Amino acid sequence: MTSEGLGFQLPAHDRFDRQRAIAWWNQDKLAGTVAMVAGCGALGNEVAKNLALLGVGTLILVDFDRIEISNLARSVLFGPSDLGRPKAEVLAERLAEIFPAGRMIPVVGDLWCDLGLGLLRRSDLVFGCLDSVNARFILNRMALRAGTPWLNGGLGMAACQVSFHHPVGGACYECQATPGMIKRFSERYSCAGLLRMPGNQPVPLTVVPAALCASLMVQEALLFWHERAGGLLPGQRLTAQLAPYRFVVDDLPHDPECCAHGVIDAVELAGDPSQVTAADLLGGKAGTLELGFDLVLSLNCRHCGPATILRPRSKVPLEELWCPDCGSMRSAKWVSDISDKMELATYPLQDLGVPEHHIVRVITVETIRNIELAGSLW
Amino acid sequence: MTDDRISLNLRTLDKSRQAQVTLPIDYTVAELLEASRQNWKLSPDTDYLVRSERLGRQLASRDMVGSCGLVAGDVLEVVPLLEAGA
Ligand SMILES: [Zn+2]
Ligand SMILES: [Zn+2]
Repeated sequence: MTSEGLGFQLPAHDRFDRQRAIAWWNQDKLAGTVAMVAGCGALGNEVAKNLALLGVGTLILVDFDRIEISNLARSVLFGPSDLGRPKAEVLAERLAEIFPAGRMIPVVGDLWCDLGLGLLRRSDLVFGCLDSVNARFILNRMALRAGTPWLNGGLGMAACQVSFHHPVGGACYECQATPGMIKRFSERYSCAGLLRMPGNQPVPLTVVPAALCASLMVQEALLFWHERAGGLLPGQRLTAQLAPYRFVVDDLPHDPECCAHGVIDAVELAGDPSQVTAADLLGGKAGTLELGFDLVLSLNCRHCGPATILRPRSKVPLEELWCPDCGSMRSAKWVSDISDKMELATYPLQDLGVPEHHIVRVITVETIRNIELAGSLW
Repeated sequence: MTDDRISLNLRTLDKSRQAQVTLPIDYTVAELLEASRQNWKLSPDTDYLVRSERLGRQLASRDMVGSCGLVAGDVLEVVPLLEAGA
């Protein structure tokens, strides 16, 4: 008997033919998937390149930084004509060339104060391609709050690590923190509560571990998206060492007292932060709006008086603590809740540093609501 | 060896450094890391963690070597927490 008439068909002839031939592959699922790449450097380039080649439908690309000459030796999608341009923007353009049917959303800004939690909530998986422990702490907390699992990648000279963290269970990135890591995280802030800007020590690095780490991260993602066994479980970390060759998987210690866990529930949608005020969201009722970050209201010089700041604490560098007029050290005044009694309740939330797609908590005597603000990115 | 001490084999993940140590059972993983740092002059800019080869898990820094599932002769490895990405 021949195979004629048995319904054997050639798969649809398109760019994804070869990967569709994998028995468990679901190209439509990938087309409907939203992935966030946090950090668009060497590792972010490699991860995003893989995701675009595979046909992942929507990629949200986050980085505050601009392309420097030293990035060109490790970042496959950046070239000499891109120097000085925002990494996230250039990456989005190049990925659109690789996969024109994909939707590429660049976010040029800081994880903590420019990335609305709503974008994390809409992501199916986040790829942490960051270059400091502190940034990973921040992404970890944001992803867990948003209820979105994330893969952390880290590079060494001849090794890489991938860990998987899930809001539903297992150790998070912060659970495993040593006292030294926590100390350095808190040292990010001075005793006045303002941001220190430590120069990141450039470490010896090539594209080799970046490419390997990205392959491992995207392999993990493919297993996760296709609900296939064999990958990392939540709270596990893979260390791949190149010299000598070794692959090691460890369960990370879960800390029951870790304060990074806890998903925000039921989210309502509201208007654009350039229009909406705290008073609007409180609907004329007495109550408070929790910004989700500290807002520096003013810096007060005892000689020259107060200067209005109105910026999130993480956007006020420590140097600003010194008065530009007389050089004295100023004291900072900040809030994290806006009550209906405050004049700030009548300001558009954008003027208080609230980014597009951010989620705020609105508390009145009757209700506690999580409200996501609209924006132009989604 | 008495019951209030435990002997362990300690090495770095790349096996470039190793040592046999006998520790009080209430010695913490954090203390062990600090001692490794000093004895082996590990990079001050890197965070290190300790994994148990047999258990296939990372020990918490507050764990005490005598009460976190280790038995005499176990191999512990000091692993760097890799931080670069850009
Ligand atoms: Zn945790
Ligand atoms: Zn002054």
